[in-house]
Amino acid sequence: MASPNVSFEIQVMADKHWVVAQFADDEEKAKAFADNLLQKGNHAAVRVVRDFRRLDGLHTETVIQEKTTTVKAGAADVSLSPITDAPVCTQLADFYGAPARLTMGRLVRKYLDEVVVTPTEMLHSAAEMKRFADKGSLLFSAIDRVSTLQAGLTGEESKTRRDFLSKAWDDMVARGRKFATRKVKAPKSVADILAEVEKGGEEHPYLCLSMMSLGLLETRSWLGKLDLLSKWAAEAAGTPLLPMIDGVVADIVVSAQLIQDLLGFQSNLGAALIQLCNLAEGKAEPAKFAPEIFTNLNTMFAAGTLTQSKDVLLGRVIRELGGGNPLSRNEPKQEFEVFCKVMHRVVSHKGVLGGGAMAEAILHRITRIHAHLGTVTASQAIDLTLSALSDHALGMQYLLALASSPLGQGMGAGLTDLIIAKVRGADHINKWVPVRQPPPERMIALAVLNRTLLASSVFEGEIRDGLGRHVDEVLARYLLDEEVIEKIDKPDDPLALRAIRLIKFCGSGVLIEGKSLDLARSRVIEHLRQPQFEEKFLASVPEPGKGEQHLREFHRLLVQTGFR
Amino acid sequence: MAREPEIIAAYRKAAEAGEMTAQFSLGEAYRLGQKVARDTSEAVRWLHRAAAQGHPQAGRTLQQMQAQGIDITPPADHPTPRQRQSLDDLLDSLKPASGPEGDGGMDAPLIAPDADSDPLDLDGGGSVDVTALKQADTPAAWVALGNAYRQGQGVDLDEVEAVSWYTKAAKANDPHGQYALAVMYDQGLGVRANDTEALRWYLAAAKAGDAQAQYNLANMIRAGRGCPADSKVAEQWYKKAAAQGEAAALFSLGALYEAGQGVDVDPVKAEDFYRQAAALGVAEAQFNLGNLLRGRDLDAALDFYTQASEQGLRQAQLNLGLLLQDSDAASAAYWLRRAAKAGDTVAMLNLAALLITGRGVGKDEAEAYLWLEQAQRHGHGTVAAIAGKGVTALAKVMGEDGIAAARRRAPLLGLGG
Repeated sequence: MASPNVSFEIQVMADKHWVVAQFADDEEKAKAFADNLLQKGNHAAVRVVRDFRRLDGLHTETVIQEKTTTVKAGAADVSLSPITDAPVCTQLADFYGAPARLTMGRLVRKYLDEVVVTPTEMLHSAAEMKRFADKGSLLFSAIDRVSTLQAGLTGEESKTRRDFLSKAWDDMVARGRKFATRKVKAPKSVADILAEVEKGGEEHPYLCLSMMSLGLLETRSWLGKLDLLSKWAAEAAGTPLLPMIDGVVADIVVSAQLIQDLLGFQSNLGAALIQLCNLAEGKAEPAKFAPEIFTNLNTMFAAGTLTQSKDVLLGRVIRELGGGNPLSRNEPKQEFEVFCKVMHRVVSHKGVLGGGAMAEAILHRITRIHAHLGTVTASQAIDLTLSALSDHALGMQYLLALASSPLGQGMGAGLTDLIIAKVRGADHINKWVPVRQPPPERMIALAVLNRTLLASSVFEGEIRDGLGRHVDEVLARYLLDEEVIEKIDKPDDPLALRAIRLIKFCGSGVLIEGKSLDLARSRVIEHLRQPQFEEKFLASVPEPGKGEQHLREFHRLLVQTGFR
Repeated sequence: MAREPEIIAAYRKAAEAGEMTAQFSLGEAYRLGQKVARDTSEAVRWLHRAAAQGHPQAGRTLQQMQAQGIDITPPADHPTPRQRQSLDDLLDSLKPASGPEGDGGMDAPLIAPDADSDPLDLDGGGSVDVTALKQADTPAAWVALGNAYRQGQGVDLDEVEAVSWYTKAAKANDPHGQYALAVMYDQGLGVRANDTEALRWYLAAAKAGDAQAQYNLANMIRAGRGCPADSKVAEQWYKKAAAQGEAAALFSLGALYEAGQGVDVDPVKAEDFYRQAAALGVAEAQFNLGNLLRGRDLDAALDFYTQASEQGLRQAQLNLGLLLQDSDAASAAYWLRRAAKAGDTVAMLNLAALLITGRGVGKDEAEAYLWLEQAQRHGHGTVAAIAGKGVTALAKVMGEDGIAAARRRAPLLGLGG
């Protein structure tokens, strides 16, 4: 019989430290347990420590066995990934929604990449849910992690939250099992999916996604799944299936592994991020070694079919840009230049792609680039960013996006005062946009900035209107100084041409509702008010018989641009 | 009563500090009654805390306990001393989000976001299945194995091993293997650098139609590495590579015709090749085109300089900045600053001049001083001398305090003091 004063610890090497894996009260049992652990190959070393409690109450520890081995490389790591937030689901439908799936996609990323299954497929397949639940304590840990995070948000006790999540999981499993009893074959086409959905028995979205999952689960590669989804998307044009396809694509493009394969050869992280932005906007050219599906996906993004997926791609760009991996690993000296390229891809005269979160990421990146010079404060980081942007209009778009982000809001009046001063300080178009830019681009830059300012919730009332007016006045001054309207409305040209050109100018979006648009409008009104305008208009059309057609077009444009 | 065993005390300390493994071990100690009195409620409490942090065993152990009929309801979370809010913390939390001086938090250092748990890894995903490749036993698989060893994907990086796989593939007439082996000889990776061998294998791959091999071969022949230099022959291989859309070959052809190396100088052909390379995004070609066109079509030259500048080519940024000084001083200042930040001393001088006069940029003698100081430190000959004169002159105007204040701003400009 073992002595009550002697016990044995079986310790394993984990991260260069000995960690107790088990206790035993018998030396043989302890050694056997240690050998068993070693054989599993999950630990580089295992040892047994004998602990003796002396009569005086103190303990003496002696290592009685220590063995080392090589760790098996094959065992896949499917542990949970850290997450910092988890959106709260209140009803079963929420668990199938995009925020929940994307959170799952991040939390159990390693597992999902290992089995090559999307959250959508898992949540619609009883077999996949069982496989996940059988994977050690993964399900339990995942529920625990999420419930802890959510309890902090809702103020519930974490146990209550945990019970709710466990119950929801059971409900989803039951729902999946019920679908499995239909014993449906995997669909080959969208028609197969819709035919099964028509039979009813469940909510349509659930049935659609269950059928899609059935088909997708037959393909155990991300690219293969994307191929199938792209084929279905082509067949599903105009059906409610498209947003669901977008949802699954979004699930897939969360994976870094997939993104690496999808992008093909990229010289550095910066180039990859630019390519991701191009893809998200449907403007990408496939790179060397990019798979064929890349072009199809790009077309789908261009068509605006993949809105959820676009958010996921931009989310990836935001995290990578704000993260610590170098943008130019192979040429560290080019880090700042590559950063400038990426920044000019996301910050344009039309705004900041990815909004406030992207603006924050830029600030974090520029802080990292300059970290070797000591602590960089927020205001220094902003100055560095503004000086790296090639013109003032871009700088203001950037600051407005930053001001809308949590980080920017935390900066309070410091940031808003800076924006006000920067806007008011630039009183000529040359201070806003470089002289060499084409005139339409220069005008658009100011017009869009005016709209961004007026739509911004950062400023209110008179301040906001005043800033908008200031930009309008800069544009109006440019129109007058450069005689832009005179150049459009050339006196030698036929009246019809002048009138149509002018009205198109008014409706082109390059002018600001206010002083600058009024300048152009008043010229149109001047024409309209001349005696026998219509007769003169018709007479000026050079092509015989086309006069009426042009006049109708002119009237249509008049209405379209707000003339009554 | 005997004091708590050392190991339990250590576990408790680490567990209370939030160490997941210690929480688990402490929970286990209470569960099994090892070194402490058995106490299931304490065990449940610590195991829950370990599980909440994702400890893989803790959850399972709790499930086991539940199966044994133990109530695993976690005790009400009584906060640990670490979590208990002190009066100071409470007062801090009541402060408004903006800073105490109304600076809006602008003077606070930025806190970096948490690292992404699933970042992109463009240098090798480790998704290479080496065993499967070895089983495949084809030349393509040998090349893939060579790549895996060269880049350490799925195996430890081993360039010597890479060379042996590439050699196997090259000898089996696989052009990718021949090209890869040539690169190893060319750069002396995993094998002693050997121009003759590099040339031999580039030639084999080039003959098989590999565009990159044709381009590298042309470079070697042009430079006379592994063979006598012969620009005519080099030109032929550049053309073959260029015909396959190899952008660098198009640029090299442009450079050959511009300089007339082994061929007659032909600015028209040079421009044509540069234009093709520029369209494919070769920054050097865009820059050279800018230089070619500057005399006769300034607008086009500026466009090409802009393209090259946006790609980060310092020389182009400098030229663009210098050319724009009269017509668009703001853009000139911007590009000169980019070139100056990249270390161009001429750009530093010219930027300083704009800063002193306040052209295209706010007048700022302190910043001008810092750039001049940099130019003096890193420049040579005339540049250093002019910068030195500028530093002396500005120092008189600014005084010691002014200089000290300027130096404090150095990090803000991206300058190291």
